[in-house]
Amino acid sequence: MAWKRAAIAGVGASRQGKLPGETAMSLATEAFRDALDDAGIAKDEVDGLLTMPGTTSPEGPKHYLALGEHLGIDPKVTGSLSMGGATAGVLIQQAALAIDAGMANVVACVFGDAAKTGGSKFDASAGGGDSWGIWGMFGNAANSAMGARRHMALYGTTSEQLGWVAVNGRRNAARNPLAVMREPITIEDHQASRPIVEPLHLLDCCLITDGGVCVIVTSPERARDAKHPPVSIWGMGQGHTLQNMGTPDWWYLPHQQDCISRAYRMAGVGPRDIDVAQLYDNFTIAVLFWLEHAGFVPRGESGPFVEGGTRIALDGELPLNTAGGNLSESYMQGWLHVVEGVRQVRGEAGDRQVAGAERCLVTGRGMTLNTASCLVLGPDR
Amino acid sequence: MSDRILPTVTDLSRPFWEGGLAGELRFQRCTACGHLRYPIDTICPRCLDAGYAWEAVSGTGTILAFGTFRRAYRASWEDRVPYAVAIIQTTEGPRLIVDVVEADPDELHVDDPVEFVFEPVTEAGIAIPHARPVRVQGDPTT
Ligand SMILES: [Zn+2]
Repeated sequence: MAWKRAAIAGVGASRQGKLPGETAMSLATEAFRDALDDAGIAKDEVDGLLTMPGTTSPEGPKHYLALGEHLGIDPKVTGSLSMGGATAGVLIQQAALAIDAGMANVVACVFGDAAKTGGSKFDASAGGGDSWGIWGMFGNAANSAMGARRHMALYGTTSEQLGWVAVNGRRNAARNPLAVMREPITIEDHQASRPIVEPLHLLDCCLITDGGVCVIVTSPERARDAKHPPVSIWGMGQGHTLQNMGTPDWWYLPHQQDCISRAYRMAGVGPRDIDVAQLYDNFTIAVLFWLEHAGFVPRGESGPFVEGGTRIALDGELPLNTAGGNLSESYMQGWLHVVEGVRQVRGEAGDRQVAGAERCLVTGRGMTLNTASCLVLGPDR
Repeated sequence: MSDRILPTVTDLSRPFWEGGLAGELRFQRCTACGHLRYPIDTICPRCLDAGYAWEAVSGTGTILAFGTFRRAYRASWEDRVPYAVAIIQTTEGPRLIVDVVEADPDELHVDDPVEFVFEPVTEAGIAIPHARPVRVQGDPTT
């Protein structure tokens, strides 16, 4: 039996891309307005505010305080959280739990960032404690490059196979008016793009963009009176490995597998019940890991699964990242993955709608690949 | 002024960084449960005991995974490109991230054996560990 004790009633996004003059705060506000409008819910009804500070938010962990004042909200439940790409999922889970406990009824989960305009650096040395920069390890791509290298060595995965994830994202972004990068790319373009940290090329890497996203979570009852049909939370999960390199198979990120199993159990579903998936793609290799962790393919078989791009296309057996993802839509650190999951389940994704999509898996991960969260979304009935 | 990142040596971590001057890779071993640990910390992440002793290990291991840098993110790394940074699975158990020296990154493979070598940083009174591929004696191809 699916959980279904909270639902998403509204999703909103600001414009995305390079937006000079905008700030993390103004973009979060734009998204908040858009989400309220989408839900058909008045601001005065919002009694919970959960936020993720952007890389350009000066308030840091007090982000909720500044945003709450700006939006004029005195919430029953609030707070800010920074868990990288896992944050959207975790905040939506906290909202759902607060609603189920009766502590709040309409919770806005909000993110905004002006990372592009603000010149946020994602090439700082990776690692905590003794900085891995001592050993020349710089940039967010390094950890993922290492995972990709071992996956290639053990399972014969190729750079071209990673390229199909990028091509698929771009193909879907071309059908998404919100997407920042809509020019088609080919496997040849992917192979010719400059190396970042090998085996990863430029077209294996996410964008850096300005934008904001908001998700309105509420009770199933309230959601049924909203403007659109409710998208119910069937299951939700988390998995974390807070010890870097704590186990020999750390590179394989087994906590992501645990994260999804927990959500499947809560939702009463398995991989074959999922119609469409929004898998966090900070780098192309991430999608291959997720495919295995979610049980769509056995361990080591994700490369051949994505090769050719047909199985993961909009009309394939498992349509993936249907809005373009972090690679081509916008780098909203997984927040737009939730928005697209909701649009697909509602059946309102237009040119990129997956026929008959009912159940969607949305995943997120962050930090030095330590944190993971996921949602199984489905209809209210 | 070089933009190279050097370790912040503390009373806690000094034996690790000074170990290199003696040609030793050293880890902390918990005196309560025997767990050999890295990264360096004040307590054992397995049993939470604060007791430990520094122990020299063999300084050998294998490349669990690596990434190849073809451009330098900092000027101090410009004369090193292309270079590889690897997760080393040490023979004794802990894993750590270091760069690989004396190697063409295109010739490296996952699970290749490596040994640790130490680069003295005289002004800091420490030595920084790096990994180097183990050449099998008598085999000119390796
Ligand atoms: Zn212990």
